[in-house]
Amino acid sequence: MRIAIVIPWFGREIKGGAEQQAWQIAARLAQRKHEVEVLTTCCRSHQDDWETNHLPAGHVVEPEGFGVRRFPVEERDRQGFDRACGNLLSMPVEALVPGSSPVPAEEAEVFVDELIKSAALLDFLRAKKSDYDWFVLMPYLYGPVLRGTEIVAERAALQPCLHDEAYAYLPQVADAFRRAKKILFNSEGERELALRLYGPTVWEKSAVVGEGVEPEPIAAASEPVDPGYGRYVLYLGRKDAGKNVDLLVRAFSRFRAVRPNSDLRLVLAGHGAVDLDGAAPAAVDVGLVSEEHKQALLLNCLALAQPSRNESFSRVMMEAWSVGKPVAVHSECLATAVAVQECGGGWAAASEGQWAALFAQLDRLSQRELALLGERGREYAELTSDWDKVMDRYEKILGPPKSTLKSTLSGPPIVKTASRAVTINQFLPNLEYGDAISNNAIWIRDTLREFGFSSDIYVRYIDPRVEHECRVFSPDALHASSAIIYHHSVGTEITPHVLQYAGPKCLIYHNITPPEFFEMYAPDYAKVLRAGREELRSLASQFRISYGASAYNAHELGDMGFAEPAVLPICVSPEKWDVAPDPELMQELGDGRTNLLFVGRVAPNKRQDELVEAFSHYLALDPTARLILVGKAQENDPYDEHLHALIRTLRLEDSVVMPGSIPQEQLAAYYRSAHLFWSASEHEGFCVPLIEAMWFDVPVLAFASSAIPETLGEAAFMYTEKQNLRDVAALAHIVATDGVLRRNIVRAQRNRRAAFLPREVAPQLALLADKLGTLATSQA
Amino acid sequence: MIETVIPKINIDELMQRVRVEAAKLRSGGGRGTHAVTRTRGSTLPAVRVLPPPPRSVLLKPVDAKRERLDGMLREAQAKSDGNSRVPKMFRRFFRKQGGYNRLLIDSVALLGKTTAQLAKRVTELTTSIEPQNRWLRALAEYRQSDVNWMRAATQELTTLREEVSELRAQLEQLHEELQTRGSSDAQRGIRATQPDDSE
Repeated sequence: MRIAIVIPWFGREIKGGAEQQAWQIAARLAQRKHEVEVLTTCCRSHQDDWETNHLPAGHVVEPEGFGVRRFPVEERDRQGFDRACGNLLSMPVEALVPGSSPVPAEEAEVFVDELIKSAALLDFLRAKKSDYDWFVLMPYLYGPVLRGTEIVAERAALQPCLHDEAYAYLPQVADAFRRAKKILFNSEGERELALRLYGPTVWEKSAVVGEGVEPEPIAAASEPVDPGYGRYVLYLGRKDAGKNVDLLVRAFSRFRAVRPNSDLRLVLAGHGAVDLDGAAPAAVDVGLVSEEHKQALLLNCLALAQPSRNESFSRVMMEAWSVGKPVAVHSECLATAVAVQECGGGWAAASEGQWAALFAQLDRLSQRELALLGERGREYAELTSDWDKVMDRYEKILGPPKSTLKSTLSGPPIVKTASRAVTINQFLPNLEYGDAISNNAIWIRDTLREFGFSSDIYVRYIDPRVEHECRVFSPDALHASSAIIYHHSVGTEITPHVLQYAGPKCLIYHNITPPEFFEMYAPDYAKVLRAGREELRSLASQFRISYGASAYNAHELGDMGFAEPAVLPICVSPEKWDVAPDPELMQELGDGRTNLLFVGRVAPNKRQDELVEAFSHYLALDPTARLILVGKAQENDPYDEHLHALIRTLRLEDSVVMPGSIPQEQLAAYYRSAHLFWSASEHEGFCVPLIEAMWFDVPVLAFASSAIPETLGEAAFMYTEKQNLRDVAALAHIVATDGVLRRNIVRAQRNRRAAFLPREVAPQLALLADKLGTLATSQA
Repeated sequence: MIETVIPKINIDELMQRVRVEAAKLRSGGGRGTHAVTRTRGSTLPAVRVLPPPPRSVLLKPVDAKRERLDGMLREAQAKSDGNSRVPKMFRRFFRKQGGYNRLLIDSVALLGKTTAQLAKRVTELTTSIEPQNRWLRALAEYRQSDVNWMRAATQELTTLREEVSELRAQLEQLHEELQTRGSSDAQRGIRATQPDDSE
């Protein structure tokens, strides 16, 4: 592979984390016989003047076997940048809302473009973008990286080294995450942060590659030298405000105040100074130490403390684990906290009180208990920070791109070559923007085309927003098809035509709502539904091939007399959400209130009324919570009127939001801001919003009915009784607020949602296409 | 009540927490309608909100075409009777049998059509009555639940009234005690401030 690493500063001696990492990656990729070139500026380092070209422009080859190409930097608007940066830095972390820019748009532009500038580097990327297989761009917040990602998007592998800081909330950064073809994270926690900030599209194109930590040979070879501090907790690293060392010292003082007789000490080593705040002599600052001294300190400590909130990967944490020492981290730093939680190799604390309590806990633990925790960490470090394994992961994710769905199908091609001359068209009553069945039809068409078939969608009624996706139904188009897929729904005028069609045909059943739900509200529509179900029975003999969107639907088809109905699930891909969420709505919803969400058209079977009623109980536990019911309502619909009347009766006008049918950007904002997806629906044939919620890592709590248990699969977290809505509200409150429970549900959901990805559903569609294609060929 | 196969979730423990949280709700009540029931330790059942009544389908009346039928029958009668100027014994030779038959057939067809319309209308009426019926049944259920609520509320009001009377009695007793203590303190105070005659 030919790989370019794009980084604003680069050099053997630069101490920055990203720069050192870039050097290691370049050297190790070159060692594995890849052609590597580092594209950087002539500016020496982050600490130097960003307008000065300290180093000569041009190309050199390093002894490690990779090239370095430097480009000159140029003058920049210092004042404008300082102003923008000042404003960004003055933003408190609590005021930052994902999807909403922390500064005005012009200021954000100034920040990105006037930080470090190299037009020559960007011109090079423009001119040579097809000369490299991949561009690894790092770290995330500099102009050459963000603008560079824009230029080489199709071959961009962004390695962000992301922190939870104001810069990460800039729209240009979010845009770079959306555009990049691949994203490489240093830690699981860093990926969690990116998912929270930029949404579900991050998941599928990203991988945690980790960062290697080389074990120091002296540690293994020689007997550990006791540095003479007795029992101590160690802090290793820079001692500045950004690293939260003050918090650590304050917490230690507090612990000592409660336990003055304890012999536990705090030892701080590294650059900078810290006010020991009366914690001395129990706390000691040993300053910058040699590598040998650092090793001795690590080998003799009880545990390492890493109180920083801004880490994308903690090298010292891995170093401590690699020598079997447990680690205490800040629970609000996802990069470290998730790692601790994953392996159980330590503890997490946030407030001063929690850190003080943690010191007390540490003081009590026996050597054996500490060693057990350290051992867990050691196993984790071995897996994640071994350079060979790290580089294997780079090669895996940057390997040859799998460009088509065909290549995702394992084994010999399922669709026979002879079948590919056929035209498989789809017929359905209407195509609507945002509608699950319509989206599914579009995906089927695209996939059939990828398989090599000719395919189009024909409908009777067209939503102007999707008119480019389909054609108007005509009997001629029907009869010109080699084979057809018919999506059955109620009251459609195209059914009689489809029945007359003599070629191979397949019916896909998305279910018809039982009429009983509508009888009380819309008796006429209930009649239509009843007729639709009856009609389905009469179609059984006409379709030799039939599919349900779920086993639940397929079972109904079987009951109606269809022969051997199969299952073709609806494909739900996160790519659909590759949009920036509505920033104003994100700001509005990020006001600290709990957002409980349900998505689905306003219909009696969806039981939005019951949600509202249960929510009125929920408010007693969380009075500022908000219930959001997204979904289209028919004009003058009696159920919709009933729902609004109920909201008024319960005096919930300020707490229940019903935005109707909304554009994708707004729906993305609702999903991104939701704390719980709550469904009381009593009839679903599949329920796409459940999978969508899973993609946004929103825990789903649903009433177990119809196809819902099947769709939720191993991630199902459901309630089975509704008699007591107080219990249901209490359960919803627990799920929305209990972090551990949420994590367990979301972890299961992450596994489940993969079952509906194109790569999983495409082979099943291939089988269907194969059946139709073979029949069409034999009939011809 | 909870169904899950997600590992690491202890359903029993979770149910215990649900019961604790729900108990808070029972003692605190909810907002909105439930705010009405928010009394100390209230055990009032939830107030259910009745869905709107279904729309009544206004059916057009069936046109029985009575006048047309009568006219046809009169005409058939005339054709069967024949011309009155012809002597009675010869009239049967002058009956217009063809016209009579046609009119009779038309009349029967018209009757058949009307009967079919009536049958259809009866079906429609039955169908439209069904949701009305269901709603009325629901209304009866809701009415019953309202009655239950009112019974519970009456019970609770009685208890509350008793508690209030008890509290009032206690308050009065306390008031009296305070008054008694106040007057004795006042007396003691007066004594304390009086100059000692012996000095």
